[in-house]
Amino acid sequence: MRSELPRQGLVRTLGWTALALVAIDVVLSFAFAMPESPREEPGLLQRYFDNGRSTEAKLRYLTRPTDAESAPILPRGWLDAGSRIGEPATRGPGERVLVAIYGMSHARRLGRAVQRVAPDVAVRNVTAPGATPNWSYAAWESDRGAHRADAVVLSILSLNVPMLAATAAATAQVDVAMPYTMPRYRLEAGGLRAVAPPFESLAGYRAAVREPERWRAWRDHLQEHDPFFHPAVFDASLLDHSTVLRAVRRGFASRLRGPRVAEAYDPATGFRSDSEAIQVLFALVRRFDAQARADGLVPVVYLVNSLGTGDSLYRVLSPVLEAGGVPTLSSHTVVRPDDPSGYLPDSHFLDVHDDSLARRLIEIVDRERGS
Amino acid sequence: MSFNSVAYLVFLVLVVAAVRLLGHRGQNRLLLAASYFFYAWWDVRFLLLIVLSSVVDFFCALMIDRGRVTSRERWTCGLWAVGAACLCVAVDWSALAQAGPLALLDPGRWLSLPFGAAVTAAVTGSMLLGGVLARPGETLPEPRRRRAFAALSLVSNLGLLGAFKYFDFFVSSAEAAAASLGFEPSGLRLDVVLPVGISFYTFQTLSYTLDVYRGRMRATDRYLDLALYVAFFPQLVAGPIERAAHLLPEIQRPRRIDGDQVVRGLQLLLVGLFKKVAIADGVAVTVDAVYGSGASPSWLELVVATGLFALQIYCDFSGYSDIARGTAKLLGFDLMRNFDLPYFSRSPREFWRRWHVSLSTWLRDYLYVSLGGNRGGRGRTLRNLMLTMLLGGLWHGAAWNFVLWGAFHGAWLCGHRLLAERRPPSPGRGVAGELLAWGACMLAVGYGWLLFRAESLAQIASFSGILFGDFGDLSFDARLPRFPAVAGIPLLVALEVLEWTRGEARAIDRLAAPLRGLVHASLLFVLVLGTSNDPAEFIYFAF
Repeated sequence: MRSELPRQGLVRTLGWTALALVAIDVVLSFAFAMPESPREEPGLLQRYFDNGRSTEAKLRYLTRPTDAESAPILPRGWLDAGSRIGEPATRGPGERVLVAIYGMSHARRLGRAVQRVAPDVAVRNVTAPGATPNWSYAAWESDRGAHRADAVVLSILSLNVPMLAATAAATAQVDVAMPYTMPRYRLEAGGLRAVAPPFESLAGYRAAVREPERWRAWRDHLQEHDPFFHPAVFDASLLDHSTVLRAVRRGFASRLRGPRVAEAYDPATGFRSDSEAIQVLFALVRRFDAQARADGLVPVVYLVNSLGTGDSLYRVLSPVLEAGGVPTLSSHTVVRPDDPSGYLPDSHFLDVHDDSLARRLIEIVDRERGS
Repeated sequence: MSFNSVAYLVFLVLVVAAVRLLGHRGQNRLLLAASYFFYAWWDVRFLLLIVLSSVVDFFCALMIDRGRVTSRERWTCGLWAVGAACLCVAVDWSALAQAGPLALLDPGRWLSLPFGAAVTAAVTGSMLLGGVLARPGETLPEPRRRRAFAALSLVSNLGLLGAFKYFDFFVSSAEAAAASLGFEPSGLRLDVVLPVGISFYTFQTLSYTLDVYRGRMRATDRYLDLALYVAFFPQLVAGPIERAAHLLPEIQRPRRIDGDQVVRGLQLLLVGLFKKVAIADGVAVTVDAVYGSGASPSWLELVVATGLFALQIYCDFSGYSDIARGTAKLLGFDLMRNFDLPYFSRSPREFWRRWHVSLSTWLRDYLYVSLGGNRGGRGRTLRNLMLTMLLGGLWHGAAWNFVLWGAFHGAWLCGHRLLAERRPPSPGRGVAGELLAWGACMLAVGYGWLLFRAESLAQIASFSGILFGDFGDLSFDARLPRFPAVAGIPLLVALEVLEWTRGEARAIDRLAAPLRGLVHASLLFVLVLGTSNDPAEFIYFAF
């Protein structure tokens, strides 16, 4: 075989292609630049083309010197008591039951539905956007003793179960960076061990943003304890300035995530009961049940089956739930997880389904309290 | 190893670089080793089937053509088959990889017993028997000898295909039929995994012995050339199904790579990956949400999902073919064009001349013609057409919906043929007539895809009911396609319209250099956006 490379044609083709790619990059970078202020809602395409920005750059964009200038999402999801201010701690006049709900936006919607269908039931909503099961559990634990609820609800979203080992919302959800943190739970010597993040409050986070030493300590913590952390995705770099290179990083992040998710979940067969995430989830559910009962509360586990995941979360957890007699509310009994018509475009349930779930929750709580 | 993986990119760069350092024969040996490595990446055990297929066809073709096999050729066949049995089945590579190199000292940890030993013994026995049988074969009169060894090739190749792909399907179908009559049969099942690409390489290797049998080409006496023809990695698992008369000479003569070939190869890789990663994987969410859901979709959801599936399967499969052709070009080979703008067709005949060309021509040349083609009057022609399409449907998968899809296309082709016979020849249909013919053709193709994609016969019945009887429901709750697909579809349409209007496959190359650069850059950019889609396996790997 005789080689005739490099040829002029090849070089010219590659040259024009590179030049055109740079032109596309420049045009898109100007046309779809993110708004100057993080309080301004970006358009769909602005958000899309920004998605591959590094986690660090996204967080720094959201975080400004004052809360008034920063993104409204910044104060959400922190595990310290500050984020629960305003939530009822006791029953009010005319209210017969107080239910505390821990979890993600589905849990918040369930709480609102409870208030819609049963005004005599008070709800303490402790939620974070996109919360993983370890966040829900940590929220319950940190909230123990801070209220006089009659029942407590631990919410678990099937889509987020594989991310149970993530220690920050920013690593669990790459596309929408949020700064709140949570502990990582590990099974050690037959028990659960929690590894706390360096900070669990907005104040702690702000200090890390201000002080490079603290930021480095957080990054080191993520590198050591968070399997969803990757320096190429997390660290700010020159790539952040190019739309094309951001898209490359987004693709890389998505490919990186696939195998991690696959360790816990297979779309064809469902959750793998022998995976670390599911084993830890079993332990969290058992401990939640035992702690709530010890506190004299009715424990309820709320399983939110995302569209396309079937009832696999219920199937994998049901042996543990049934063995422990844990009261369970699984969304698949109300909303078919394979029928898109039961879901809103943003993946939440239709209000009518949330209302049905709320009624079932109240039935469960009343039944358990009466027994 | 999938074409849309980073592993393949690394593999391709290494192979292309290594090939450039070697002479012709060295290249062929390297390409054979690379092809076996490429296949073994999925499952090393099934590599044995490819080697056995190569050995049987090498042997049979020589017996058909020359009527004898030298002892050197016999030894070559035997050693390859037995060696492959030992390495692919008798050795448990995953156990060896887990246990580490020290485990080599303890064969009990990495030998697959008793299954691997049994397969190796069976292969060794078969090779010895083959050697013994060759002697009486050599003394047969020529016509009988040629028929006997063509039959041996057919039986072995189709036997492997039948065992691995169709056995369980036919047994379970027979069981279901018996159960409906009140019997309770306890069926025998093989429960084996379908080896990737078995339908493709079986047809490819069969075409070699059949062409030798028909006197269209001479049998090769170089085993490595034939082995590379059977296993050539760019087209091994999903085609194009190359004819030996085309690919073998390319293997046998020294190849030359020039700048134009590299540009064309890279361009095909880019277009192929763009189609697969950005469009096929991008629309899959909508298609799966409708077809993979147990719920009943609205009319609009069904129409959109079926239309998107038409796009998905085209981009998935033609994307694979483009990548295969691009890869081959970088290695100095020219593979056939497998898709020629099929969605511009205006009749079923035209569609099958443009869709999966390597399969449709294979079915025409080796099945339709063998059945008698159009030589026995109208009735026989229609029967042959119907049988060819039914078997073509079944080739795609061991399921009744594929048979139904084949039957639908067969009936459509027959109907079109009958209509064409009755219609007086006309000089032209005019633009409106052409558009009408195109629209009608696409509607029929689309309904065919519904049959193809459906997950059960019950779903076909239910979806057909919605399609033909529920026009009023225009609600749409299904997931929307991903952004890269939305951005990529207009680009794809523009490229295909350009090709169609200019009437040439390399229409991009006729554009001015800056505009060509812009097209390449746009494809690359949308492809990069598509890398964040959920990656899916190529659809045709399942066939």
